[in-house]
Amino acid sequence: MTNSKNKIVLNKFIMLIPSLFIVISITSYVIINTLKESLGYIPELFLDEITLKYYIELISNKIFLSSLMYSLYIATVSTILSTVIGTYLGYVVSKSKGVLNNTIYRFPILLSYIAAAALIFNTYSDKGLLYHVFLFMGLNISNLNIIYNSNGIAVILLNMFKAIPFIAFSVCPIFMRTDESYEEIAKNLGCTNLMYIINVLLPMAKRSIITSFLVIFNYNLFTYEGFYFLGPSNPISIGVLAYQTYINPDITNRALGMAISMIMIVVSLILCVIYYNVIKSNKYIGNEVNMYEDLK
Amino acid sequence: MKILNKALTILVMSFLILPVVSMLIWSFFTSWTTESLFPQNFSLVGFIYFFRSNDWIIATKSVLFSLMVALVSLILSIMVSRIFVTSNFKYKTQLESIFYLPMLLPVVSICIGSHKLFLSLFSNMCGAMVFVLHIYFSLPYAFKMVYSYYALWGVEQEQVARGLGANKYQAFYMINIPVYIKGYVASFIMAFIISYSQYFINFFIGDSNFVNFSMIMTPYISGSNRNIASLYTLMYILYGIIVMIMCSFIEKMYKYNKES
Repeated sequence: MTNSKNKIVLNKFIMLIPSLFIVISITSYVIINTLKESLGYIPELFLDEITLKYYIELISNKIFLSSLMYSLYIATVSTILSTVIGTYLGYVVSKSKGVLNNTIYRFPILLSYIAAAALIFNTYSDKGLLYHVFLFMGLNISNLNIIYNSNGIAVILLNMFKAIPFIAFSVCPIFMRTDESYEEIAKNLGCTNLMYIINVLLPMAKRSIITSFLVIFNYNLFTYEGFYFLGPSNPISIGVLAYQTYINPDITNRALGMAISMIMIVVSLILCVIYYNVIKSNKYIGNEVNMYEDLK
Repeated sequence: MKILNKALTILVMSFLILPVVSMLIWSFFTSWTTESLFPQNFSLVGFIYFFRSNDWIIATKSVLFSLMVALVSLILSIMVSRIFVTSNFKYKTQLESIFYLPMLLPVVSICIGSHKLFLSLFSNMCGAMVFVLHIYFSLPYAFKMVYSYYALWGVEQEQVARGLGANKYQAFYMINIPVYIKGYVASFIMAFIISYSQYFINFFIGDSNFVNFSMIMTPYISGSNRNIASLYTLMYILYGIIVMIMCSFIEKMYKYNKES
């Protein structure tokens, strides 16, 4: 009896193996290999003493520090802005009945970062669409300098363009389910409109907002494409720096690139722990179903 | 207050729509000089270029590749979520969160870190490693969606069918798929979008056979060729929309079959 039961359990868990194998093997190999090579142990390049000198070198490296600060600045600004605007947009869309409003805002989700970068370039570059729109309204701005300057507005715009629909998309179904009776009851009890939003709606969508905030923050912090195509060449972002250090013709730089990569992994693992705590504290997963139902 | 609300909505919406408008304009017009109010030189030269330069073959290949990735990640995520729904074990939440891990790990670090592994394992099978990495990044999204559908509806209907004498495959094919088709299609599309929009994996790990759509777009972005860059973006979206329409067509077909 127990034997056959064991067999059933085993049969079941065989289905888990392929995906678990892909996820665990790649993740663990990457973490172990990156740690090893960042500590200076690369037998292929005849480096075989374990030191911390690459990390120490990084801490005093001005380029690394400035690119880290720059990435942090861009990621924080763009994520906070897009979370606030995205939540607002989700609220507006959930209130409006029109089909047009409901479908148009989802459009950027379909685009890749590269394609979105092309569109942002077309729109906000000098003599782009924005310039012509201003011209149409009678404003002649001779030098619209948004792309390729060191304050990184273009990258922030790109990140927002991609992230606002994503957040609105994940928040909107939750707002939609709070039908009018919620609002009526709240107002009966003496809520103003603002209080209703702050005390009733936002706590309901809290989990969704926090998880998408974390995913987007992490993506914006370490992304490569947006910074590479729209960002300035100084300071560069940390993702681009890691890649450039890794492919540097001077092959001893590889350990340095690995150290940068290790720092990126550690930061995202810390974010993972926060994400895990958010998931664990609120076990109701039905929330996400409605969110994907009207994807098409 | 209401006027302010409306103005804000229009501002946000126009922020999202303006780039799309620019795409439509520049894929049909080659120039728009500084002083003129409207674009000039209507031409279809971009379309001709897209089809003449055989880039459409690369684009189609990239779509087919992403469809394959999405199908595999859908199957894998169905397998995983069935186990998570039907059984209870000790470290279930921890195991579940392991599957969400790739969602938060940076693409650049994963590619750089696993470069050596893939070089040593499949040095002449670059397709396999690109494929595995694509699955690695699209699996969590597909899994999250399929699992949330399973958590809502469970597998009880299938068990009833088994109890009434259907075998495993009949129960899956005739009961499970019609019930979950909506979730499966949504998760398939999500996995497709994730895989279709990858750039760095193909750029860093793939060889000349695995150039994808985002990669053929890049020279025109960095070279600021507005006409061709927007046209490629338009084609990118059109391919995506075709896939979505096909998916919803399959879903409708299933529903029609069920009703008739």
